[in-house]
Amino acid sequence: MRIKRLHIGDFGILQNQTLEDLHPGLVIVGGCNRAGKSTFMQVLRYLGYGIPSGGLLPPANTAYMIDADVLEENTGIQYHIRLQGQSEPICSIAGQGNRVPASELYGVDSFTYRNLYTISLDQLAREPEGVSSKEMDKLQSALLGAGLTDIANIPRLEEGFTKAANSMGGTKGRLTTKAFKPHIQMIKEGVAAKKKAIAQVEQYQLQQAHLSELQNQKQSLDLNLERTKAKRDILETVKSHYEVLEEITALNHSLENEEGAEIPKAIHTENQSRVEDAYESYRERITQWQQQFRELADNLEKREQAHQIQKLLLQQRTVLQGFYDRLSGLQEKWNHLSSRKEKVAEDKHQLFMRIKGLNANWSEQDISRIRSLQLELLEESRLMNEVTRFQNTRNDLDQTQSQLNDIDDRVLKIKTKIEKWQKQAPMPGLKLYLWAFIVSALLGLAVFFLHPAAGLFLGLFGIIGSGLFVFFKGLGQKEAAIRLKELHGELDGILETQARLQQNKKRLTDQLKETGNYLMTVCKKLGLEQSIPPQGILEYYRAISHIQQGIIRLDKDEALLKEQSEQLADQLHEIKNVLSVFENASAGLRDLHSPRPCDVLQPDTWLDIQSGLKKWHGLMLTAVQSDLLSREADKIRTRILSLMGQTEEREHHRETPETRETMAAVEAAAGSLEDQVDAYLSACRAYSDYRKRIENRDGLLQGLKRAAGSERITKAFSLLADTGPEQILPMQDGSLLEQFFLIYDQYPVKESLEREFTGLMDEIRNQEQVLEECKKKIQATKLSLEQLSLTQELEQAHQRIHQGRNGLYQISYDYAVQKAAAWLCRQVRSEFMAKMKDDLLLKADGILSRLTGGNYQRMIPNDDLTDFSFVLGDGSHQENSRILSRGTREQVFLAVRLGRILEIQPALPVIIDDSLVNFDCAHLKQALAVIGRLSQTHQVFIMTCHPHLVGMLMDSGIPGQYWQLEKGRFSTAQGHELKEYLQLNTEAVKSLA
Amino acid sequence: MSRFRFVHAADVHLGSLLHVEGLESHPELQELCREATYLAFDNLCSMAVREGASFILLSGDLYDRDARSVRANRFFADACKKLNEAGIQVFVTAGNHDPLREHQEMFLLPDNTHLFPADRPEIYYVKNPEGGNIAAIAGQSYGSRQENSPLHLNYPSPDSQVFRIAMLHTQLEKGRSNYIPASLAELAESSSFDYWALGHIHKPQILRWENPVIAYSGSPQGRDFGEQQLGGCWLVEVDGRHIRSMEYRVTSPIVYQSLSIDIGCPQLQDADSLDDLEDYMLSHARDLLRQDPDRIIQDDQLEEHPLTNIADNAELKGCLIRWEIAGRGRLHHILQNDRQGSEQVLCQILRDMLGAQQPFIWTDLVQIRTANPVNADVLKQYPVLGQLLEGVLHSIEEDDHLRESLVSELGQAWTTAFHHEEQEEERLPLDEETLKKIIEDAKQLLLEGLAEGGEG
Repeated sequence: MRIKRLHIGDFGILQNQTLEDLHPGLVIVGGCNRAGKSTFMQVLRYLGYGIPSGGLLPPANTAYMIDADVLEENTGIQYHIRLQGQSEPICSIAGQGNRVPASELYGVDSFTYRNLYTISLDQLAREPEGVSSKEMDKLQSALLGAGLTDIANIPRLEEGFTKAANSMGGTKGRLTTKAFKPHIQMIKEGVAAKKKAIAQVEQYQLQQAHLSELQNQKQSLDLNLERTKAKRDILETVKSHYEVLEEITALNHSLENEEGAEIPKAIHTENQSRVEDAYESYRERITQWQQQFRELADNLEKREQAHQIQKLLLQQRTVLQGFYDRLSGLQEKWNHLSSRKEKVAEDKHQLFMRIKGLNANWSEQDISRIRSLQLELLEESRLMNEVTRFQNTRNDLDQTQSQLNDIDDRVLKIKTKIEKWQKQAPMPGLKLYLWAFIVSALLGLAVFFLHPAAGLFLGLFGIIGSGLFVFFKGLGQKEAAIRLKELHGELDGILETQARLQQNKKRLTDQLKETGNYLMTVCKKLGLEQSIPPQGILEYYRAISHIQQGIIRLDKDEALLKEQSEQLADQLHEIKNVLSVFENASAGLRDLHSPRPCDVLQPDTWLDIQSGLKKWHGLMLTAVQSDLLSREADKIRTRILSLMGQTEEREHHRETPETRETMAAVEAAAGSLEDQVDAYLSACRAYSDYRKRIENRDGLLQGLKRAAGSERITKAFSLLADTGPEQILPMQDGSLLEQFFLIYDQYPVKESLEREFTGLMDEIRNQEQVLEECKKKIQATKLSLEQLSLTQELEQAHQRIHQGRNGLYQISYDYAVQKAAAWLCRQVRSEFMAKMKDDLLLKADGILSRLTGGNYQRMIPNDDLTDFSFVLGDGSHQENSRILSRGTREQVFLAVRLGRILEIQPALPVIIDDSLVNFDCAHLKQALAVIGRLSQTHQVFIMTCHPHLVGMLMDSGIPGQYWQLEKGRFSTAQGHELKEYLQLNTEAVKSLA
Repeated sequence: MSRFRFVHAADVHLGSLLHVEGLESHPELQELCREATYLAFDNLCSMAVREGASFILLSGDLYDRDARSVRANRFFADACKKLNEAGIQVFVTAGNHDPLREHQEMFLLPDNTHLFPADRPEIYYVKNPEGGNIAAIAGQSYGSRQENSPLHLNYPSPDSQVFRIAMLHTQLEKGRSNYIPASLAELAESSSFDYWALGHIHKPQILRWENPVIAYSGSPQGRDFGEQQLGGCWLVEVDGRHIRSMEYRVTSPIVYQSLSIDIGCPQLQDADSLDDLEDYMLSHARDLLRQDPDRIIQDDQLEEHPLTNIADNAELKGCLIRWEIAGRGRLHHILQNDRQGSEQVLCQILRDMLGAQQPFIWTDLVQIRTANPVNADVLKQYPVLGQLLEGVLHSIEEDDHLRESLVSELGQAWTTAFHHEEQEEERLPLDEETLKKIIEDAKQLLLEGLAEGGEG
């Protein structure tokens, strides 16, 4: 690439300068100090990249403005570049206006171009001025090229990665560093917890075995305790029944010699209670009998007659009871007849009073007359019908007569009306009217002559008025005719009714007469006067008929009363006769019949018989009761003897009717029986006492058996029987009861048993305590097993390990990535060094050789690329650049730059700003030869203030273009002109110095 | 000849806890994760009863060494009692996790349960209801955690008239293996058995399809993100001496799953906020549950072989998910601005949004491994560096010394001398995958540095 035209509008000292047709090869700009050479170099330096802000750039008057035309030789395309202010350069293809990035033209970055192509004296050093230490690597890459640019950042990156990694986990990534430690700690804790949790399984197995042992132990303890408790239960039962056992033993001893055991063979002791009951009953009967007999005797006139009377009463018992049974009936009958008698008298009196009420003149004698009236010949119904008929006929007749009277009145009234209407007979109308007309006309004519108007008026008025009169008159006559016709019709109807009523009246009159005749006949039969109205006849008939019936009824009642009184009198007489037998016997008299009662309905008579009957009936009952008691006592005695197993000893005591009733006999028999019963009962009591003791013993044995047979004791014996040789109690074959007695026999006194029992209780308490402890241990072991079976701790441990490992993974991964990145950097750089070092600086070596005249043949970058070692022409080596002279060092770095410039495509303009001042003439000449060769491929700008340099360039024959720069103004010049100009300036400066 | 079914399972690891983060405030999910291995085994037993299996084979590691608990013992004893009531026999060999010298059953096992001894191989014969033998089962338990001798070579030959099964808990590695050194060829050449019921590898595999069939059942329930397939067991139907079918029956109630989100994918390439990323992740997670139940059985061999079938027997209770947000995109700067904060926020949002649904989706972890979009072009500016970097990365894979050099730099937390069965809790396993991720992230970090520092 070559700059063809350059216009500097505003850049420091350079203002509005245009450099046209710049030489494609060498362009020499000569100028004094501060003429603007360095400013011009900066214009060229920043043309393709833009002017950076800051730094020590020459200021613009208003704004930087640079404009250039450049030619890309490879493509032949001409570009236009414009810089305005500090903005990006605007690059476009000339003539087309298509913008392209300026970097495309230059191909290298700004740093490389600045440090490689714009060569000032300051830059020809190992660490050029203006290049920071940070940029040194980049500079090295730029200088060395051959790919070193690619790895220019690698060391810095490696350092960054290493730092990042070190900050995380130190240089080695040890697990003890801070970043890893918490995760490692967590994992360790988790692992420890896991070991512990897993150890739970072994613990569980141990505890399981321990639990098994404890359970066996508990089983054994349970058995021992049960056995001890069984023994306790047995001993406790024996202890609580110790007195019973004692008593049973004593009873057994006493019963062995008991004579009562033989008694049941002699007497029937089993009937003791029945004998006692029967004897009690016997005594009771005897006592009652004695009371009854005394009561009988006390009611007699003579007590000694008691036995006889008793016999008599027993004989007449049935008769007397029959009377007594009928007594209430007789009482009833007597009461009835007495009331009937009173009633008949009352009825008779009432009847008489009614007769007197009907006819005050009648006396009691008229009763027979009434009784004789043949009223049955008169039918009440007919009489009643006839009376009714008579009254109805008479009422109908009266009514008919009344109707006839009304008809007569009406006939009279109609006839009067007919006459009245007949007087209003019709007059001929026209005739009347003619007459009225003529009169009116004449009257009018008459007046007309006197007063025509009045006459005319009067005539017309008369004619019209008579006409109206005749008209209305005619209307009234017509109505009268109609009314007359109606009245005649009505009159005919009434007359016809009147005739019919007349016939009816005649019939009723006949009927009334017939009925009246019948009633008169009745009056005669009843003895009544004829003046009595028909209703009175009927009422009288009814009253007399009623009285007659009363008389007949009274007659019947009296007859019946009499008959019944007779019957009652007979019955009472019979009773009276029997009672008199008893009375007589009681008094010791002969038997006499009593007289028949005259008026049986007299109260005294009745009361006498009634009281007598009651008295003897009561005595009869006493006698019967006494007899019954006597019999029952005998029966009981017989039964008692039978129950006692004895027979009647004394024959005279045997029951006979003769002996039974005597008090002495009875009492003798009772005394005998009492002795026998006493003897019997004594024997029985002796036996009963024996039995009681047997029962007492059996009862005690039974209670003991129950106690021995209780579930608890049975179980206890059963348990102890199964315990083998180590029996707590001496167990033998036999019933549990026998076992009880055997145990009892071992303890002659209760105290020894109680001591044994107390000892057992203590043992039980001890065993229970041991068992309880064993149970607690089992429970605790089970709880422990339950805890050990939980997996919570294991889960937590795993979780902790997992969390720790995840955390460790994260940090370790990040650390590993950083370290790996750093490692990659190192490896890449190492590889680069191993493979590329030999290819570096080959061109620079040739240039350096030419610049040094063959003294230096080869320069080799060291490992860190910060310096070079050298191979000299004689084959010797120099290890670094620090030992070189300044001129040689500048030659080295010029050679390095030019070598790189030759390698880089496209060929960019090279600016050399008085960089060759430290070269001696020979080396300057060699350098210019190198630059001359470079100008064949590159446009080279040389800025100088040295006239000898210009002279040497002219002498070298290198084609070029010379520009004179004076105080910021460019002007073309010939070589010698420029040399002279610079020579003059140099001398002037020297003279001033 | 008799026709019967049996269940082949192994590596139940009863009582093992599922490793998951952040469930402290979700006791119900915590409970599910705690119960997962129990539920899986319960599902297995229920399936066996439902399918009328004659017996169940448990080829080692019934219990977990790190999760030994009384509860696990009790649970197994109870389960065996139920199986006994259903007439199903249970054959158990102890594995390296529950060797007989370290583990003993605490509860009395019913008569249907047969635990193979450790001191000698044993053969049990299974009878049909008529009393005739239908199958012979040979096996031997681990006595200790390591079993260096080839126990299977001493298995006696059973009666050849019945279906013959050998149970073996092995890593199937020849040479110095701590888990019964054996080779597939050895087992394949054995003519004494028709079916090798293997355990130890937690992924279901059928290594040989016939004469004899050699199969790993995998684990009924995965326990960490290293076991991301659906857990289950084989339900094998036998007719005489021939296998009619093998169905893989899923038993795991909970599934581990790693999901990767590429922020450069079309849905996220224009995203400019975490909200967009959240929505995409939520949608992605929900899509997960809509997939076929056999989605995580990634062995094409299993799916395609006519003998096998996969059936989902277990009710899926939930998924435990670990997210990796990777790729290049606009979201990178937002995510990397506060990477840890973003990880935590996303994790919490996903937990809140998905944790309560059924089946639940619980986010265990969100890892952001995104790269600057400019990274892709960085190396174009540094062609030499690019070549060198690729060369180094390639060398890591080839050069063990270089690899060791790198590993030695990564910190003491990492160890390459790890074993799945003998994991050191305080060290992290630096497996191939992890190392690759670290290197890739380091590379991205380097490129990012270059991109940022290019202009000086």
